[in-house]
Amino acid sequence: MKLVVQRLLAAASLGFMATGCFAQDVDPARKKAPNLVERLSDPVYMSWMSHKDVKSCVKCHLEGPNVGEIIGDVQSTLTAFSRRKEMDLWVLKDKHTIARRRVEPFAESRTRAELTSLIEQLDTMSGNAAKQLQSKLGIEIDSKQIGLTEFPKEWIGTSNFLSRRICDKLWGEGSSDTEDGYAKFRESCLTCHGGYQEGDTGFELDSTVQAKIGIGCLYCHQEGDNPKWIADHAAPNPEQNWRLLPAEVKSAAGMRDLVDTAKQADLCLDCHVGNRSKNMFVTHEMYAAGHPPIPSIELQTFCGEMPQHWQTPSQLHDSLVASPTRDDYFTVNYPGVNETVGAGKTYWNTRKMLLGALVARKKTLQLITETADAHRWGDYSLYDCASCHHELESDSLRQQRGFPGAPGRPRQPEWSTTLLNLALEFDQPESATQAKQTELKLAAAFAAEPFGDPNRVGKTASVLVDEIAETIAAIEKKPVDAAVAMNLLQKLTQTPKNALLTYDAARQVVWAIQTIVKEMISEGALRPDDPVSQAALDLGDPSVSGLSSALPSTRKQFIYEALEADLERRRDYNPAKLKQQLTQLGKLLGVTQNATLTAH
Amino acid sequence: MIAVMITSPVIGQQPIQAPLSDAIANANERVTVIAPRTLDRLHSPLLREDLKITGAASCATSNCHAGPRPGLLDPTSKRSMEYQVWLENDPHSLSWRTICSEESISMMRRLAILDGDQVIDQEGFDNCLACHNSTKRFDERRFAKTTGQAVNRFLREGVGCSGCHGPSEKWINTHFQAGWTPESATQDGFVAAGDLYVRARMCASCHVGDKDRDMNHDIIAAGHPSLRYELATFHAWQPKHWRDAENEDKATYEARLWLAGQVAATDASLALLQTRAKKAHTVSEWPEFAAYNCASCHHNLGLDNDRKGLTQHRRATAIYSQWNDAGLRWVIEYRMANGEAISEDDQLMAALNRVRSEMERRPRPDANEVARASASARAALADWFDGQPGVHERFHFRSDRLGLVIADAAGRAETFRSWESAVQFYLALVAARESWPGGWNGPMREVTNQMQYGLQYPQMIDISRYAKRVRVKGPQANRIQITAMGIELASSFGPVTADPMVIADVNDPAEIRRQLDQMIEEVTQDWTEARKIREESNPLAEPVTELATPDSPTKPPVRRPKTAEELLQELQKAPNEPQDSDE
Repeated sequence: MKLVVQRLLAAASLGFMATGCFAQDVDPARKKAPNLVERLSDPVYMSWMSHKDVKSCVKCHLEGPNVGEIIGDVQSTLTAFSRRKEMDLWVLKDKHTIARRRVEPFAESRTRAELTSLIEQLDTMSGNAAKQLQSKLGIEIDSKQIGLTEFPKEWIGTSNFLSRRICDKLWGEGSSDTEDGYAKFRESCLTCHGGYQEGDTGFELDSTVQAKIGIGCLYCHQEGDNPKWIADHAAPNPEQNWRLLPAEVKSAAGMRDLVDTAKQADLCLDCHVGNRSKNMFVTHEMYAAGHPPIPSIELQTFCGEMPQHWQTPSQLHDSLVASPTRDDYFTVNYPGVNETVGAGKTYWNTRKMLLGALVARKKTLQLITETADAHRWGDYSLYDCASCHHELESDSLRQQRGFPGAPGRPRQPEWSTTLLNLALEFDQPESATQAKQTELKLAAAFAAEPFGDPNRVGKTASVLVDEIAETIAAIEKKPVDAAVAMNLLQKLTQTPKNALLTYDAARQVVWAIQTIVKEMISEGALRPDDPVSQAALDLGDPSVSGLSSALPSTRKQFIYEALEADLERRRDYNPAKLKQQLTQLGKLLGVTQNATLTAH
Repeated sequence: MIAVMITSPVIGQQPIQAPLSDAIANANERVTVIAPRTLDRLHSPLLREDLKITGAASCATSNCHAGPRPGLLDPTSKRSMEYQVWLENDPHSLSWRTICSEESISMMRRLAILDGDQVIDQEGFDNCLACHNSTKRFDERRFAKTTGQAVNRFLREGVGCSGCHGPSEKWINTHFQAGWTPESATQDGFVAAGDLYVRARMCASCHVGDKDRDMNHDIIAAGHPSLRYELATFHAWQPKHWRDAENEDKATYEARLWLAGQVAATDASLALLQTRAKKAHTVSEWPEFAAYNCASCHHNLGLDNDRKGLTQHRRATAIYSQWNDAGLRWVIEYRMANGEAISEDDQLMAALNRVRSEMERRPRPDANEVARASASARAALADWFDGQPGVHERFHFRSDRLGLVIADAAGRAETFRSWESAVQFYLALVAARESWPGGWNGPMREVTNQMQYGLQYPQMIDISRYAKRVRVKGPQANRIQITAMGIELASSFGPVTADPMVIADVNDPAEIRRQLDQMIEEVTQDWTEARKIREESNPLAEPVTELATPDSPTKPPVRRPKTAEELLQELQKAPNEPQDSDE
């Protein structure tokens, strides 16, 4: 049995590695959208379709028009603005949909009960939907075809088992079966895994198929409890009215401003970096109990991998080609960008990569400042895992890499600084910006003693947070066009070796390069078969660079299956090799070794 | 100048006067204070700043310590060719060469002690010399008379006579005179190493570290091996340049060396920790990771790693090293279990526990609390040592008693929880070998060897050329195997009452995977049954035999939900190509 599972795991991780390809990045749903029978047999799809929280969303944002309405049992009012695929992509592919269900710390007996109840409820839900489809649309559904064709391991299985182990270790064996123990799980884990905040209901111990099984539409799209926006944004002819309203008005009506890239980044990175004020923070204790490492994040790459269920500003620009208010829309929402270069010529994904880097650093620093006092200081999760968890041997790979400063000190997670300089220099081309100086001061405060001097670190990090906030505001208004993107790409190929010392830091550079190259391809500035495209792709191919840019995203992939291979790559990572490849890419881009590059 | 009076029941009744600088009030000064109510008095000459050192060459005259083989001229002569033995056979004489090796140079460059060939961090360099050379005091600053610049002139000789026997400025001219005794010369800077405890503490000042020398985590990270001092072992390794007369009393000798080593290592490690916590070592920064168990951080990650909780709490902070105090704890625990313990035992155990808990309380332990805890642990150790327990153990400790201590320790879960503690257990076993049933070559030998190989000791300590001589002769063992061997061996000495935690610790690393597989299997069976019931209750359900025919290529193949049995088979079949690929 063990062997079998290992083989399965190996097969799954092969599948995972095969996804890191530009061509597949276009639109995952277009390739092989599940048919109706498959949808009716999908527990995640069926539970969300009939969930009360998303009833209104189904009306306009689900593949349809009619089928989705019938499955969801709602009336739709369709508009031209909605592509009707948003929910479809999200509910069929996105892992966020079952973030909670996957980590419910079920006891073994509970696991069985959940499976039985799932089968029963799925039968009921899909049976009803099939009848409705037949009576209303005359679609014949062969009920014999509806049902699970494989063990629903994306719904229940290993993650639950591992989650229970973590809870057992943190709060005592079997504690998560009790109200008190589950409350701890809810407060520490469901903040990220279910979008729970204090006072929210629907996060009780006796979860069912109908409970909140993951991050729903409203967690990200609604601000507070005000549902007014739901009716407002779907009002007749909304593209002329709603979308031209300033962000404050939309927020006041309860719609979260996700058009503002920095605000969107803030929301994503609450979980993907951490936010102690919302109890979203993976402590070292949790890691030690078995939580997999939170990966470093490049915002645009992660959004693309979700997969992205919304239109990028660039796609929206195309979609709104016939709209007379297209320019107004961009002027209202992206002040400063549209007036100069124009929304059509802006490299939106590259811009997002820059803003994401700034926000990631800001949020990392906020995690630091919140505990920078003598007694709370030094939660190990604030440091690079590999600075302690590494092989012990003479003349080790780590020693060969040559980390600066005193040997043997835990290091900051460097990945969040790697792209920061790129963004800072884009804001102010002069290399000696204030924020860069503060970064150096912060590095010195970290080097002052093991774990860093909490007082100096705290003070310096607070200053840096403010400086980064200023840079974010400045960059949001600054256009990023083809020339800027090319310049950033060239700069990235010149990343010095000492900024590539850790695997995570290097991966940030690779992700950023791939983000820019993909966008150059989609904007027609580069052919997919251009040597540059291939070289950029190779950077994330473990067989070529030793580094993988692929992510275990979408709900059929599992972190723990990819983890072992990931740990091996981390162990064997060789910065010199990557540096060599970056230099080659630079040559293809016409960068000479000694060229001094300045930002646009 | 203030003077502190130290009396010692062991090394003479005469009070020793030691200089105590004003720095006692200011812990951040560079000081080498001989502290009252500590075991500092054992090796106090080595802490003296006021006495000069003479080089080994000054001992090496043919009439003194560089003479012919003993017995050649005078059959009863005590002194003869100590210098030659040291120079030619003793690794201490090579330690200057060690510091000049390529490895050491690389380390010093990584530590920014050297830039190229230039010393750019004098304090860091002096800290190296404090253990690797006898003629340079860690806290001694020498300045050129003319320029006032720090100068780097010293005799390069490795760890010479004075390194162990004490600064010889005063006693070099008296120690051969009639009426001179080692004990009375302690105040003149002579280390009375005939006493095993003095010897043990003297060795420990370098081999563990001390208030005036610190082989810290920065240095380890730069490439220096960890210090793994255990006196009985190191003592056996060292070529003797003295008449090792005590060796004749085999039933007590190694056991007493073992106990002296444990006491000395505990005291030295506490002295070191206290100074580190007071931030009084110029070369160290707080918190000092070298005080922790290496493996509490440096371990493999991943689901299948075979780590078991090293602590009972779940704080997931680094754990305090067990290397230096494990053995002493076993002695006290045995005394407790055997009803021998008195208040000094309880107080010492409580004080050691407090040091441990302060060090593990939070990621960055409170330096003041640790300094206080280690100071009181040193005092508690001195009280224990000078009180009834210490006196009793010193005079009654034999290999059979060590065997009983070992048998008691084998029943405690903590004994085998870390590599450090397990190796100390193995070393204690070896030190008790006079009591092995069947003798050294009896049945215990093979299992003891297996345990040694299983622990990869001493390969893993990579210390000195001796370690490198020993090749790995057997397979590495995991915690379960080591525990089993430990209990088996200890049972030869006395009854082993295994704590239930020892049994619980015997946990197969593959257990996680096994449980996981079992769960998937069982749930799949449930699913199978549920599916069967569903099919039976649905009269429309008939076996689907039709699949897409070749003549209707546009018609999608009939989808067929799998039966439970098929699903199970699918899970058991090794797929040839990815089935979970999302694309």
